Amino acid sequence: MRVYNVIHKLGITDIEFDTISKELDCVEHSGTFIAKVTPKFMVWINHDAKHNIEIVPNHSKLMTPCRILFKTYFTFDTPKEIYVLHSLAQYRCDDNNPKYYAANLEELKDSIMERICDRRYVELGDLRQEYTYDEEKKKFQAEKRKELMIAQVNAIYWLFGEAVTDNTNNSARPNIPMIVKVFQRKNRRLAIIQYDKDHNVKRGGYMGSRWTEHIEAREFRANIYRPTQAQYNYANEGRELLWDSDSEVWLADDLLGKIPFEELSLVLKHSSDEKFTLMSAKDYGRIQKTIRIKLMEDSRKEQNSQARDKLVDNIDKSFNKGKIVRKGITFTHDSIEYNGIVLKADKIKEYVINQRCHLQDEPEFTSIYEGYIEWLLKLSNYKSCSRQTPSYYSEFEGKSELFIIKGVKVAVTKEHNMLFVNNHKVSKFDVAVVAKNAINYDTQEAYDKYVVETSRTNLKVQQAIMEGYIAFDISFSAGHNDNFLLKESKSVRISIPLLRDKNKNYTIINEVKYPVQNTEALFHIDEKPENYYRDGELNRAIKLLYKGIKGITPKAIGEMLTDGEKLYKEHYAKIEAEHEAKISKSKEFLAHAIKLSKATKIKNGYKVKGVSGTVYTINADTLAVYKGKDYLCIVDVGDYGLDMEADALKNDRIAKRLLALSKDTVVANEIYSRGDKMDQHWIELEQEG
Amino acid sequence: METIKVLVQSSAGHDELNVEQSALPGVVAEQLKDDKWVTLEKKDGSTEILTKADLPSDKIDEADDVDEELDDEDKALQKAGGWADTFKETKNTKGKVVTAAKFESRFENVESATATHKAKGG
Repeated sequence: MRVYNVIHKLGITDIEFDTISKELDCVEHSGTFIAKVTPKFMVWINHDAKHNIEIVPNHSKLMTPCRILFKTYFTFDTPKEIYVLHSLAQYRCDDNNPKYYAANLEELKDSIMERICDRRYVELGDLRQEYTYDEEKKKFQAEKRKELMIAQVNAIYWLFGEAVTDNTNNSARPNIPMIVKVFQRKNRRLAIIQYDKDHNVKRGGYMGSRWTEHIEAREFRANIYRPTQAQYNYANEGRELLWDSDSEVWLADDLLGKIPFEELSLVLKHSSDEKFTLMSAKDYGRIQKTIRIKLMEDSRKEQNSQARDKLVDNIDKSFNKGKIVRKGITFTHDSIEYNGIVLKADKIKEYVINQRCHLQDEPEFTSIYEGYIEWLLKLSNYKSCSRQTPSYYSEFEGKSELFIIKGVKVAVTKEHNMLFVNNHKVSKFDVAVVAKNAINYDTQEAYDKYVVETSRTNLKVQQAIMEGYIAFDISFSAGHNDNFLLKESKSVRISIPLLRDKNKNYTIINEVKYPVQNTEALFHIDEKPENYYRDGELNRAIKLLYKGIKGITPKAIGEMLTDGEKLYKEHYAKIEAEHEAKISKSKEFLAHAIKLSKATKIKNGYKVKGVSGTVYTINADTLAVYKGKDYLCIVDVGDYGLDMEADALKNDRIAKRLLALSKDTVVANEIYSRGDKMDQHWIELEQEG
Repeated sequence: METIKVLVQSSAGHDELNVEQSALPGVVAEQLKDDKWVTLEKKDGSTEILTKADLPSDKIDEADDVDEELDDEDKALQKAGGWADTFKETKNTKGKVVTAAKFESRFENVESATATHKAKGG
């Protein structure tokens, strides 16, 4: 370097050489240290490239000595945390190309914040080392990772100006990540997530050479959220979540600590269409049946001896005493009783342990009762590829099972692959519903009568007869196979009246009564053809109408399809009109709220002044609330689960915000105490009040 | 008797009811108990928002004579509008004493009442 100094006349003084020498000893530093600047060259130490001294062309006027990290140049001394953060979030290229200048540490912190918050997450403790089979090396890596993680977490605390505290949470559940600390600054939230891994990972993968490694480690990562992300409002300490490469599921407050990992991972697996799902108790209630059935299916297929041992252990521990009372529900080994309603069966103990009914926070009798029947009858999730809604059928394997509900006996038996309830044959799709409905009958005689009726006419047909018709939509694509005469694609709505007389089904088309000879065929008309090229939609529909209705004429079918087009338009015009009416009513509601709150319309939304004097703005599209430039989290309560995109709901939610914010001091306490207590604005308002 | 317009946020945009003045406290109390905020619009154009904390309670630790007064008042109101029943299980969340009479007095000169779902800090 001294030779270069002479050749290129760099003019580096002895003092500057001393500085360079000292800086070279700082191997923990990263980024670039600029020791000398001439009009043509700069001399710097590139810590990110093995601490090399480099002479580079100069394009900027910099004061020396200075440093460049995160594209920001500064001349002041930096604490060690800066380098730790730099290792987490430096720019991948041109990190040492100065675009910003920081006059002091706070300004530098702003740059780092911007940089860190520019990404979705940062893995903490990532050593970027290759996988090793050596147990000693693994142990060494784990210790190094832990050291690094601690340093990184401490540096994040420093960045946000908070004193370091131990936020590890020992109540976090294995394999379910939990947010243990949230930092908030300038409309960004950085959440430290603790992930206690305790699972098996498959390694290898060629020709059956896969092997299993057990992973048991506590890991951390930092996720970053902006107000534009739905997650922002729910990023608070104690939140449990699970993610994969496409999507993530977060548990709402009412489900925290309650959903087992196996169920949560199933929810995640089936939520691939949604990038973010906040699952509340209501949502869970809706899908619980599907999950439970899927879990039972899986456990039947994959149960191994280890899992069995664990289950037996749980049985021994939790339910051996013979009787447990939870929320008014009494569980014994052969009965479950609530409010005088008793379910009696031999396998109650096995079911209760298997499904953890007695461990639920909010056990609900009806759900437990229905769950027992689903478990007993081994329901499987059946989803036809051509239908949207799944149905369930029984894979009941045993010969006979008996349970008694409210004194009504229900015996399910299987003979020659056919299912019988109280000796009457019932479809495998209906058997669970028929068994469950026993709870609605007070006498054995009345229930048996219902079973006989269902044995003759399955539930799907019973429903259609009750409604008086089978109705469905069919779309015919133009120019294809049997539809080549169609100039454009068409949708029709077919409504086939269905009535029952002397144990036979009939339909009436154009005032002519036809016997229905195959009801099932009529239910299949709206399914997509299995082989589209061989049998188009129109041809298939015609064939099934012939198959289903005895003596139907070509003229009647033709008229039915022609009328169907009109029916389709009328049907959807009605739905559209209902939708419009909702929107119209929500607009009235919003107008009323604007009047009451004295809000004013601004670009992108509304402005409203609270009684505290605070002026709030509401973005009409995202529903985000701001106080000046500060985003205030507002989470809707009580209207969970409704379609957020629905215009009507959006108008209502704006109206709600306007009315509440205009009386901010009155509602501040509720907003704060029910929320995650991140926005101090509410508590300040309450204290003022 | 004069009827008051009550708007309730609902999945249909909103539901609208026309309630007789005497029944209004009961209707509003039901909405408050249903975990909603209710904004009252007064005839002079001013507004106020009611929360669960504004509901009266029959379980307030007060002197016996006050309790008796409350009971009598409740009975009278029950006869008139039948709404006092709605307070049976309500506890004032702020611990303040709110009598049924005080609650009812808030409904004088009301032009409309608007019930909305709540919000919390996220």
